[in-house]
Amino acid sequence: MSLFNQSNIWPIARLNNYKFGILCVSIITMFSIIGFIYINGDALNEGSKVVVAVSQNENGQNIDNIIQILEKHKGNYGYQVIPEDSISKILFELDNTASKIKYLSNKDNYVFPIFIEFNYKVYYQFNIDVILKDIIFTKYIIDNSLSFINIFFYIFYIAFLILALALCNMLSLKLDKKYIQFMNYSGANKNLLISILFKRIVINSLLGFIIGWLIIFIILNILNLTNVISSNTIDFINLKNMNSIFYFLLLFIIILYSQYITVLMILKKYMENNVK
Amino acid sequence: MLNFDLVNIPIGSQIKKSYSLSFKLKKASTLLIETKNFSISNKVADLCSLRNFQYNGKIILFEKDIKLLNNQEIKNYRKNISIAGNYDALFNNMTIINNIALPLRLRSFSEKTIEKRIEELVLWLDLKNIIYRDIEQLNEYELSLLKIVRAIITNPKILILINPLSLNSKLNETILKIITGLISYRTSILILENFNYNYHDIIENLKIIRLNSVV
Repeated sequence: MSLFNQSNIWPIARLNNYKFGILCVSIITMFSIIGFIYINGDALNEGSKVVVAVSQNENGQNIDNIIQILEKHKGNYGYQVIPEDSISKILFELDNTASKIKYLSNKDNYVFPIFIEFNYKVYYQFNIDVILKDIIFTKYIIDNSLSFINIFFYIFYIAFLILALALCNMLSLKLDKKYIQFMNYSGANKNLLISILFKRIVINSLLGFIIGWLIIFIILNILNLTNVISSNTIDFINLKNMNSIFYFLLLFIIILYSQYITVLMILKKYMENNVK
Repeated sequence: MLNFDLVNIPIGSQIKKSYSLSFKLKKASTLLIETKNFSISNKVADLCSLRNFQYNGKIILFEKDIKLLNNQEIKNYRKNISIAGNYDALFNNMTIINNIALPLRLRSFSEKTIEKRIEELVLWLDLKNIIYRDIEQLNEYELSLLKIVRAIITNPKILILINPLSLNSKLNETILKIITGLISYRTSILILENFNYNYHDIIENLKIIRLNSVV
């Protein structure tokens, strides 16, 4: 006679309102992604630029030729050819004194170089270095420092994430005291209980995280059909680069770790404190 | 096994009023304490099973004062004591078999051992008609019986039964069978009752302590 079909103690170690927990995790994930996209968006990094100075004294290097190369690689670079009357301002900001002297030495037959301005992130995103590999040019990076407003937004973002996680965990990770105490009085091993609960929070966090990411993924991809969203953002949500994979992995670990700490604290409260 | 020496048990929130209780529970014996108060039954059970340490007096368990036990000793001692009572309900999100097997699973027994013990109990107490049903379908007597089964599956050294007796003669017969069986396994049984049954008609050679006086 076989009495058992499936044997485990899974049902006893349950979270009372796990559905609410999944909802909380997905909301936090959505806001985290939106927040991260915002603080890393172009709006906060307008000051950071890369200026490319292309000499026109080399053979086959003129403004039409360079624009042709850039247009051939279809990408939303947002580059700008700096007009000659603005060049003196740009040159003032350049830190390479030797280059300035070279370009302004005004030799015979010397043609003034073309200055093309790119957004710093766009430059590295589209790997402009490679696109212009057949051209001789000099690259200058302007105003790449982290501004106060950026630092403020990063701090605000991290504080929001920590507070939201703490609130979410307090409200959603409710263990049934009666169940835990029964386990405690039955001489249950605490590690056994932690391992079961850990499996539960991994599943809950993962499910909430995927739902949150999926919602933002769908919304941004629909908006992208009307070309409203920048390619950086779309690549980020589509996990097309290592940075976004790293970000999502880190976000998931933070959510999971915060839940683990909360569960551990609750268990300690119910199991250790009522021993004596 | 268990020795209560002038233990004062407070009544409700009235700290000044309390019951004074003294008894000795020997190995392989049965003792019934008539409390006439449900909360007192629970409090005595809590003290005996090391769930509560709010008392005055002296409680000796396995020849050691329970107030001198460290946390690890308390956990180990708890493994030798089982309670079947109203406050440890069956879990209705688990099957009956998993409910019965739970105390063994929590102590990491092998599935083979668990299966063997459950089979023994099912055969001994004729539980075939009960164990495959849903918990919601069981009546009060069947629930009481299953709580006792869950308590004895671990082969405890001390078994505490809270209000086990009833007007159901079949249940009383089964409880008597369990008590007789466990005593042969050298288990001590403490029964806490608050109804005025004629206990001797149900269980023979029963020592009864009546807890009536308020100190």
